[in-house]
Amino acid sequence: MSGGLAGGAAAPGPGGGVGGRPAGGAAGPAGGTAAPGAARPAGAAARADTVADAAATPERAQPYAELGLTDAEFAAITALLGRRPTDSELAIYSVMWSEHCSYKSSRIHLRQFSRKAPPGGALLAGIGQNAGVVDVGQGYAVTFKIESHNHPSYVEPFQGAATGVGGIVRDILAMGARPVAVMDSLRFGPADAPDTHRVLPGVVGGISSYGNCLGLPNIGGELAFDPAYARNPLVNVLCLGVMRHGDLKLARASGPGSKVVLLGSRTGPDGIGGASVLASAAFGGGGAEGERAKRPNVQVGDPFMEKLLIECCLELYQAGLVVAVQDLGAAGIACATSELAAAGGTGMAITLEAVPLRDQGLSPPEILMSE
Amino acid sequence: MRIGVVTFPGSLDDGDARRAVARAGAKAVPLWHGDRDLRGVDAVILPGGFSYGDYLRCGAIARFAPVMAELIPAASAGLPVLGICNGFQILCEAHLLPGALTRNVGLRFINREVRIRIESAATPWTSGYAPGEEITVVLKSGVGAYAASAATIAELEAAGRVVARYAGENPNGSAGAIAGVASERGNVVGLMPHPEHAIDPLTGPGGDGLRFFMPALTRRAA
Repeated sequence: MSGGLAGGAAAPGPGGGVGGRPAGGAAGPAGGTAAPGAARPAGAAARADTVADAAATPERAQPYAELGLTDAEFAAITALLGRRPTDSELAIYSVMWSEHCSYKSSRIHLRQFSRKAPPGGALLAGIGQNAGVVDVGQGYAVTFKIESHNHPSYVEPFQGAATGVGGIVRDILAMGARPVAVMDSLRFGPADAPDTHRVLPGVVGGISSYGNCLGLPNIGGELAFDPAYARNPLVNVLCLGVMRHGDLKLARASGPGSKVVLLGSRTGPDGIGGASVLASAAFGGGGAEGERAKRPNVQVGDPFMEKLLIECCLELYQAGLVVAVQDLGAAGIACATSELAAAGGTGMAITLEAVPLRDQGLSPPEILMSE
Repeated sequence: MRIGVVTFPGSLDDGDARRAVARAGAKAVPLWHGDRDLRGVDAVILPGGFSYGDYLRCGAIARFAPVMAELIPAASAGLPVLGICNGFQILCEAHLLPGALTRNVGLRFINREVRIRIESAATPWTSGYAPGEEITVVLKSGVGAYAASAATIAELEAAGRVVARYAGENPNGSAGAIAGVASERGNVVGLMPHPEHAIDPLTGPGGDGLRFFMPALTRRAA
């Protein structure tokens, strides 16, 4: 886990430091506060590409294609802003407009989940939230979600599967519920294939040890072997949570003046993916990238930190301090903050210098995109 | 009767332990790892879990928590203390109990109901059982194999300090199939399986574990 939660906590008084402002369309977050953290030593990070820089150097080439944006999408961004995007803006657009975050090709199908919800109001939260919530009567609700962590589990079976559990548990926590159990659904290549012998024990070990450390029993699962899954295993983990109706939390930072707090592990250079392309292109190419050691794309889980995060969040909820909460998924701070703000109809000011870092050399776009 | 239950960072069974205490008729008092304060309780339970993520070694970091600075002298002076699973590991790390817990033989996490035999009723935690009585509780641990030098094991056996033993198959390779031991005075008991998960047929294998949370009560009350 690297992110944890971004939550909108009610400001203790007026002048909370962040002015609510009208939603600024796709142009992401701006200004504000994040968790208290050690300020970076001056000059440690590369200098940011500012709006003034963008206006002054309209022709500077930017690696939008490497970040997964098409020519048409980049043209649309330039038209929306009336200038080229800054590197940080480009990072935000690239993650928010990615299939992973926006479901641009599958949203037409996903929409059916809310359209075809059974009548009667049992669905207390649905599409667009961290997890679905169903009324089960007597004032109780359950929330559950299943999510895949396929490729990381193939690359590094133990940590890939373990961090898959970590992610799905945070989604349940983000709805205001206490996570109580996990399940898994696994698909591997032929049982006698050497690669299956490499992948399967680690996946099973990663799921069980992460869940054990959080005190979450694995209450069931299913497993199948088929040649179709050779070199492409499916690792799906489900988490189940229980709450009272009144405990429901939504990812909607409504109302101006709230503080934004970032909880969890320090932000590191892992899982950044495309942003490192941006960093090397923007900050001197070979030099910057050459000095930086190659980092793993699969994160290493810290179930102990997540256990503390669970108890901490549940206590914060109980104290009535939290307006909204959002899990940090693959697209990190960029995605969590802009989704929270957009859902609440406000803007959000983010101070990236206040983000606690594991690697002091991270550039602004990297901090925004880190998992 | 007030029984304290310590919550360390990473404790998992503190809630179940408090519930078992309440079910047994005593008052459960939450104790915080960071407070050098036992809040005047009559007995203390160190619950199961993964204190500090089991990092370094199970129980090795929790043993230095501020609350332990109060607990260790109090236990040495006779305060009844029960350590369950991770709590047992912490008591060994704190040298309130001899020996250590090591990886299960077979190296796999074990999660199942086990039969244990109460070998000694001469502790405040087992006085509700008859010596030789077999009960069903829950074993859930990866580092649960009890180990100690041959001389220590012989001493524990001779002094009647083996409190509980796995009946039938030895599930994790514990020396002498030992599931629980007591301190020299008998007031400090470490137990690898979980009696707090066996207090209610609805949520566990039965109610066999409940008396662990009663005897200190009856003993003090008497």
